[in-house]
Amino acid sequence: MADTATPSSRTALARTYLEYQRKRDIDSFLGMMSDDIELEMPVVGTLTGKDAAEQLFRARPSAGGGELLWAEPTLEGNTVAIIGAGSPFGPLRLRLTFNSEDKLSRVELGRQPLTMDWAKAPTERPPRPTDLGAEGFTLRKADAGGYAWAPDHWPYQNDTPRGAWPAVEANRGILAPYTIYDKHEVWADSSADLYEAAIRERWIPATHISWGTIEPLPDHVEASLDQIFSNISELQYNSNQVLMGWLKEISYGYHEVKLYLSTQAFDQARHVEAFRKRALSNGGGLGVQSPGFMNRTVYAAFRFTEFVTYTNIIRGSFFAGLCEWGDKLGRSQADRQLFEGMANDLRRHLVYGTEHLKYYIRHDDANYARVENWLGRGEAMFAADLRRDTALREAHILALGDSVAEGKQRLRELRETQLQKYLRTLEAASIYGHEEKLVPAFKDVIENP
Amino acid sequence: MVSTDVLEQLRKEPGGEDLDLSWIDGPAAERGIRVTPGKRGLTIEDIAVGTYGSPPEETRNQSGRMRGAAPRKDAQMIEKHWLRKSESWSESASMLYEEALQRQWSSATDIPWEDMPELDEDLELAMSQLCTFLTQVEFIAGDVPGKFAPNISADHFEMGLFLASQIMDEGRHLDVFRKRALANGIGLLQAGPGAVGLLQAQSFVDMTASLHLVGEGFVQSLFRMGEMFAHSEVDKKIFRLAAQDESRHVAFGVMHLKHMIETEPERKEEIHSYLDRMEGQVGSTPSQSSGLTGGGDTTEALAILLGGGKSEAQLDEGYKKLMAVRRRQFNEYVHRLDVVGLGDRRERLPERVRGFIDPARE
Repeated sequence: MADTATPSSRTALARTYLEYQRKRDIDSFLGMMSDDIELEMPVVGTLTGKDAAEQLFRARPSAGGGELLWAEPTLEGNTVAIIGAGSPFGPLRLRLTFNSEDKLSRVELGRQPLTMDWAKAPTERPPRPTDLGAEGFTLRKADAGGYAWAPDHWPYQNDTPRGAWPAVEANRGILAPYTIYDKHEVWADSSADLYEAAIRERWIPATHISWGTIEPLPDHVEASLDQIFSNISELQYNSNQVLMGWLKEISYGYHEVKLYLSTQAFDQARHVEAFRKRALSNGGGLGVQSPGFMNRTVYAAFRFTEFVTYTNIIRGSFFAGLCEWGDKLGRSQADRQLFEGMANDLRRHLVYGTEHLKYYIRHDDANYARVENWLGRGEAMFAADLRRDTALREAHILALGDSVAEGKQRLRELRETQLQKYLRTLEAASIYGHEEKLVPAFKDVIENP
Repeated sequence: MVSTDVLEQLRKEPGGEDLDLSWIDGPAAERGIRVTPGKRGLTIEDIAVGTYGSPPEETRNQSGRMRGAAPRKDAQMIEKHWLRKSESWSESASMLYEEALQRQWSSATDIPWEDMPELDEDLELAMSQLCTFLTQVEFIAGDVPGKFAPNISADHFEMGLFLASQIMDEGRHLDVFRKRALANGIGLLQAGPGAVGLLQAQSFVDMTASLHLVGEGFVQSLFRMGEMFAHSEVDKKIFRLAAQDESRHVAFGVMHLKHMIETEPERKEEIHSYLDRMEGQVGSTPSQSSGLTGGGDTTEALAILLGGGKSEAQLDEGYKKLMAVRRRQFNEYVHRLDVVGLGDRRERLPERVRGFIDPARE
């Protein structure tokens, strides 16, 4: 029998069929089928006859793909083909074949023909890595050629990986909430190297610290050490929490930075628990919380570079100075290991901080003054904490000296060490002569601790 | 406790006249704690003793004071922290954090990159496309927990520590899949819609439902089946190690949801509503077509990898195996629902999903 249906009527029938499917109007779409209908579907396989079709759809009304999002039907001879999206298998193709009476004779739901359009993405073909060496296949080695190039401004407002072929706008998903798209706001040249170094140099407080070497100490010495350990734990928790919150602001184009920062957050988490463990190991306990001026300031940072100034530069250099005195403070191998481990981590944090500030300052002349402003604010808050934290001051005195007088002298020396560490850190960040610009209250608490 | 005699002596020493020593004289924090390492070293679980142990259901600590530390009356307040334990608590967080530390691995040195064989070009292209997808979405799973980390009270600091370990893991996943795509001459390929939508989570429980229970869970199932689609020891090791990491993330989320349902059963329907959204039951758009299981490009790539090539016969085989992968993803999802106390959800799953689910065990 000759086929009398027109193309437009067949595509219209296909739309009607899909509409019935969507509404789960089983009677109506079964009514469109011939008695000898053939169905071929994933999961189900092949079925023949209207009774079998009815049994299937009564049991599983969605088997025909009614929940998918269907594109416009296209005619291929007696068959109408429609591509549907949203299945667990990616795009599916529905093929509806009609007989001469415009009844469905075959319904085939299956995979879309292979396109491999993704394989045609005109991205750079990287060289195969050779001579990996002891450090292995590092990020720097992997990001060869154009993959290494981080643009000054990242143009994609989603999670497109740098070097991949971006999806067409309609297929990019929703815009991301990132706010940092400019390189100078986060960049440090050695981020990729610092990331790999952090992984190589990882340590585990639970098992790498010789906890058994801790000997009982005079109660006031133990209490003093515990006060110092409590302070480290609290402040690093603060740095850690706020840093993790910044990650969602940084766009995907600077993946080295995001990766490095993930190691910094993990390092800080380690400091939180390692020093807490120590404070609870030797008959003592935690001490008094800090006044929190600096903690609040870290939370309140409006800009990422401001946050880095407070945590990596100010807090980081003072903690690094403290760790350098680990031999004088620590009373056991375990104590010294804790300070060494933290010092090693802080070296990376300081490198990131100084390189980032340097890059930020080089980007725009006005940025120098902005950093100076943040330094001033940070110093003032840092000084407020030190001045009000009687417990921490006295803990240092009792932990550092065999007598109160000696402890006070040692504390002055410690503060001077920390100040010099801070000033040298700033010089590494291309900020020279800052000693003359120190906030007076900060200078005072260093000179008269 | 420091004896009065010692304190008196300290005050009488030259320079001791300005010492306050009240922090040592009458400490507000519990003292006399002497924990010792166990078989797994000195873990966070070991130090959860006395007032340093499990926190109360409600806290008023908005100052960042670590659990158990002595408070100050003049402490600065942050006013960002969740005060209810149930908001973020996961019973397994401490154990999972310690496990994360023990099981860290290096994508640079723990993967035998030197042994990477030259694969058939279609397989290599497919692996690069799969890795492009994975490197795209993996760090979203770091950004999302990071979004909520500043809200975790210092009374619940173990949750923050675990999230830091998850962020570290996700960083390594972004890194290892990027390296894999760049290691064998093809490079990154077509980016897709990605997973930015997960950043829309508005609460911690919204996150654990959408990211951990669903997103990470589906990825974990996929990685655990890596033996099926990895064509070299290099690829098998990558998926094996990544699956191990994902298991911790999923466990964290599962235990958080379990805790919430046990302590605040009235929020069960709220959790169902997040899952309704993730399962596409409240509508979806074409640009969200990656949905639960990855977009069309990823599906094609997986089918090629599973079938061993792109001939019609290989593709048929690939899609059959893909069916097995999806079946496992959905069944493991249903198992997680059972564990958290949402076993009743089996009846609420969309019909297109129910076809993949094995019958419930008696």
